[in-house]
Amino acid sequence: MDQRYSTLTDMWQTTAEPLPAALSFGNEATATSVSRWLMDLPANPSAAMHRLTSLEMEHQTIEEGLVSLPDRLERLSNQVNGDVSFAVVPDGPEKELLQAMAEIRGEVSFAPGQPSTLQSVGEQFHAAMQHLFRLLTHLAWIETRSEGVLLGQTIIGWGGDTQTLWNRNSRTEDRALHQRNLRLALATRLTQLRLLIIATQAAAKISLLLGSSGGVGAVLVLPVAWNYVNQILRELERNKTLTSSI
Amino acid sequence: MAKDIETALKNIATQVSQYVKDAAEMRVETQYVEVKFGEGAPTGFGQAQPAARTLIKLDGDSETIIPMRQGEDGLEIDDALFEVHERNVAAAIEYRAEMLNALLSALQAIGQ
Repeated sequence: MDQRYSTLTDMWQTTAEPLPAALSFGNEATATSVSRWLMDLPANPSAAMHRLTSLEMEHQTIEEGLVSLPDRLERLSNQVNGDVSFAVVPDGPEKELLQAMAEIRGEVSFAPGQPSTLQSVGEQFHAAMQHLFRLLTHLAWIETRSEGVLLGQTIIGWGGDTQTLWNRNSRTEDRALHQRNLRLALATRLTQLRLLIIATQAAAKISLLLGSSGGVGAVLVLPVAWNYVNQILRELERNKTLTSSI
Repeated sequence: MAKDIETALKNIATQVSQYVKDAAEMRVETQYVEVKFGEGAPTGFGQAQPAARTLIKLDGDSETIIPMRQGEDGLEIDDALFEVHERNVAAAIEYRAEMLNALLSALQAIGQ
């Protein structure tokens, strides 16, 4: 199962593109791996605005989820520590988290040949960290098109070094679309870093819950925390989809 | 598995440290191409014409090359392009600030 949290992450693709001289440090433009975000919008202005708004709202849901996560983990922590009784048995991401913690404690056994949950979670986390590493080390290449025709193209490094290419014949509203797309694309990169930060903080909390019975380092708890965070975000996205379809 | 995860995290931390050290200046460039709608494939940076450039240094110094065009009374600022460039500069500054904060927080979190 893909650990990445939504279609927004899927929009970043690693491709090889010829860089302009200024960004290739004076070398001849050779194909260089970049993280490319391509937004090909409908030609109809209303449909184009709707598409962007829809993705911005999806990103907003993710940001709200990240903000709510510490409280959610705190509530679970209170239940586990017995401060609050399990009036309702945890379900969803909390249930899976408790199962993973039970496996860390050695309270769960698996049939021969059956992969453990921790193994699967660890592999997915490793893949996610490799994706994040590529995101950090590659230039971000952000393009906005209108049914294939270039409106704007921006290449930006982590430190803000930017080259933007405009279609001189684009209209004011087309330039506004690229600006919105650019802001959204950059916001998703920042969110992925924040995911790592929040997962790390969650891992510290989960380590406390495991206490001395855990006996494992934070390195193994971090994938469990990462999985928990991503499951919460997927749950929020599903709930939002259900609400908007009513 | 633990070793793979540790290696992945160390790689991220090393890269982040290097980025923070290299944050001396920021360059924002705006270029343009002429692509008429209906004429198909967009061109890339290879055919682009320079429009404007801003260089901002860590100590606050900055320099800007602004787009001009030949008007009736001589050279005049290409307002539309300059406005686009100014927005690019603002977006780049905002992104850089947020990215630096996020990178430093990530470095701190990984180090714990």
